Amino acid sequence: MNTIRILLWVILVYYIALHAIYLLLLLIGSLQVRRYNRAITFAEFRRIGESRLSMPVSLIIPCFNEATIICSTIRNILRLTYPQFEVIVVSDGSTDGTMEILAESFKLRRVDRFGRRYIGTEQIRSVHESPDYPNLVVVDKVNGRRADAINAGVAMARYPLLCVIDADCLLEPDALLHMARPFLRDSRVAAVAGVVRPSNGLAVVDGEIVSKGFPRSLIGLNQEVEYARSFQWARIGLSRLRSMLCISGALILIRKHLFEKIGGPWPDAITDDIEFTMRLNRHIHDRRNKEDQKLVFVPDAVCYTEIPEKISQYASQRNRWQRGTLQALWRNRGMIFNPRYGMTGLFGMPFFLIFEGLAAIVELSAWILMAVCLVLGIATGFEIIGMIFLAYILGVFLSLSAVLITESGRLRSATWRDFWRLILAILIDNIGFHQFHLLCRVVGTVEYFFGRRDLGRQMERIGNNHPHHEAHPTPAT
Amino acid sequence: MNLLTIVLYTAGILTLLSILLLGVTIALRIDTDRRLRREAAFRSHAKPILRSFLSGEATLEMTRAVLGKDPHAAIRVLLEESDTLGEKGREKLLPLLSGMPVGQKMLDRLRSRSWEKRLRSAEYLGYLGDDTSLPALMTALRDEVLAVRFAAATSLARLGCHDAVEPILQALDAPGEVSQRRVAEVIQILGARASDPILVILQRPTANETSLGIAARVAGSLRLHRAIDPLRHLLGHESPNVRLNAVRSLASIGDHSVSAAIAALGEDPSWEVRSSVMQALGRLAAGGQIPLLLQGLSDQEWWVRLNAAEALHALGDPGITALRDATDHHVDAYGRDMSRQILQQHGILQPTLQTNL
Repeated sequence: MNTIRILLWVILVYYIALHAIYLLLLLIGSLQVRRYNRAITFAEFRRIGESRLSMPVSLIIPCFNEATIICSTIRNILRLTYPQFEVIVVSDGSTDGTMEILAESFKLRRVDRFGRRYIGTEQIRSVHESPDYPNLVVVDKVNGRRADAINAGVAMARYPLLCVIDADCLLEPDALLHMARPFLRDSRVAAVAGVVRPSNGLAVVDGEIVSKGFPRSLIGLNQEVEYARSFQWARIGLSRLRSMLCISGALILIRKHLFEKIGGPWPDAITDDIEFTMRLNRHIHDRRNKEDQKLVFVPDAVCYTEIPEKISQYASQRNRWQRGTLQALWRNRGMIFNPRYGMTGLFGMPFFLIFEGLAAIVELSAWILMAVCLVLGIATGFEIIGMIFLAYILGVFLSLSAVLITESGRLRSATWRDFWRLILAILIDNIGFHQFHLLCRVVGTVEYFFGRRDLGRQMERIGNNHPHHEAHPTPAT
Repeated sequence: MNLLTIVLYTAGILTLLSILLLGVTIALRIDTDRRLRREAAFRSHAKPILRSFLSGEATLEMTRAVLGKDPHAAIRVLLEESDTLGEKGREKLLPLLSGMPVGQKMLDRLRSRSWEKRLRSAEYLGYLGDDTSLPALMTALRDEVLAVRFAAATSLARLGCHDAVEPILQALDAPGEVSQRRVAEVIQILGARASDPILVILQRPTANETSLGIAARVAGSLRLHRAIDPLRHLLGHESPNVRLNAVRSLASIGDHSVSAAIAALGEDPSWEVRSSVMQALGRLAAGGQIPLLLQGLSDQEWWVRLNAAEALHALGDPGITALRDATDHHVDAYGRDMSRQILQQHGILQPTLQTNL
């Protein structure tokens, strides 16, 4: 009986600590967003866009069997407002006709192009350029996972900044301007991360986002809330605390020399972006390296990515993310509670381990414990309901805070209808959806410990290239 | 108080807070919607009358009356218009501004304790100010916040204050290539008015390496022929950054007589310098330097090889012939590959897809 009581207290303390940190991140995040917005000067982005001195960027798009969406993504990227950039698409041994579609759409011609290869990759079969788009390069290589494709793209890159995005991503036209700004203001900036939002619900014509909206399905809306929470205050708060240990692979801008120095993403990683971000933190925050560099989060550089709207795909994705998180933590375990990495080692890594990596196990234990308490009569039904309601309302409060921050910026929901749908999603997020998410993560944890290291099945793409999509127009903000 | 009571109290407080948060979010949304509508309506009214004023159709009083309805929105409209019109057009807006309390307010804000207010006013004065704001902006160059100093420097340049070149260089002496680029860009706003101060810096033996690097960069951007001799002298400077900028600037100015002096840096210890030497030789059409460029094809640094091959191509027939020859006979495999790549990129050679490596 005493053991159960102790366990109950441990879990309660865990929850209190977790939510106290969340509230701290919320506070820091909202202050940082406010500070960021107030420091932007008039016509600043236009000046960066017009300047001949803005640092040129190589955008790398790794893709594997993305024939349905890749052309739309490339057209979207080619529309970016930025003085000088090149787009390097790397087909990672696609077998669905991706290369043929690209060749036809962009009139590709084969060329001999030999990049500077600092990082070894699988064999590059051929390199192609487009006479219509001089800044487009397409690389066809033998399959070797996403990280390997990125490294092959980096070998072909010519510019000092690298921007890696996923094949299903769509960027706001000014996203690069916003992401390049920190590099122009502070020479210590090593990499910049931006906001990622679900693209399901956008209407895209020929690569251009013509109207915005939220996903239609409930599972999609729940993920909209989740992304808002993660990107509107959590990341910016963590970046302030030198603890942004997960930069989404969907959007990162990084100095090329640094990327090469730390060896690029690890091809065997389950989630290469998490592992790469941890290694990046490890390099720049290691006092022995004396790098004095920093990672920055930009709250208004927006990238849209396709989220799974089928339960099976969602489960597979979250399972992979959980296994990837555990793998990355294990590979970089030397950082945990290590004062050599400063705040990252003493706060960021332990936070990531305890409240991300092990969160699913702790939460599952809490549910089991509550049931045991109920059965053994240690707690009454009323007490259990009280605890569950507290967890529920904490989740609602944090999600509403994210919405408040979102609504005060340019990412505000397009219509009142979307706004109320989002509120509804927040209210029902903790009734079923959250528990299903927990289940996926528990399965992922168990499978990781049983040695599963594959990438799971690839997500089926729907794409947004539907001119008649019934999304709602966005008012100017 | 037992655990359950604490839990229930906390949950109750959080429920109330959540309801409050929702209320605030809705209020914010309504307010934002209203503000956007109001601003759109003001703009649709103010922009045409401002254009009429600039073309002489609307009177000063009429325009002031319209802009005075929403001073905050009016400032943004005026800033945009000032930005579009450029330096000469900006003067046309001054009568409008003199009647508004904007100018004095901005000067006062330049002394505010909030760095954000100082930043905003330093920036606005560049668009809306006149010569009377120059002393205050010069003082702002000593602000403790770098962003404010940058904004003040940009405004001084925008207002055509050529005396500010040296103070700007002193105020923005930040390390790093990008910072120096930004400073150079600020000074370039002054155009030809920056020439004399830049020459003075280039010829001063005591000038520090950052100032020299920036001055060299600006001299190149302005194509300052009078700077050729001092720049040639800087090719022997101990700092790679200064040598790099001197090479780039001499190439931008385009005087062919400096080719030999630039080529002498073909084996510089810094690869960035070697790379820019190759580029410069191409831009200066230095046909006599083909042997050096062929040597550059086998440099250990990829960028030097690329720029050497590009430079050979830029030389026209003799360079292309040398490149063609290099695809088969260059002593270095990397040099052969790079030659082939560049010839293909320019459509001179068909792809073979066989690497020499």
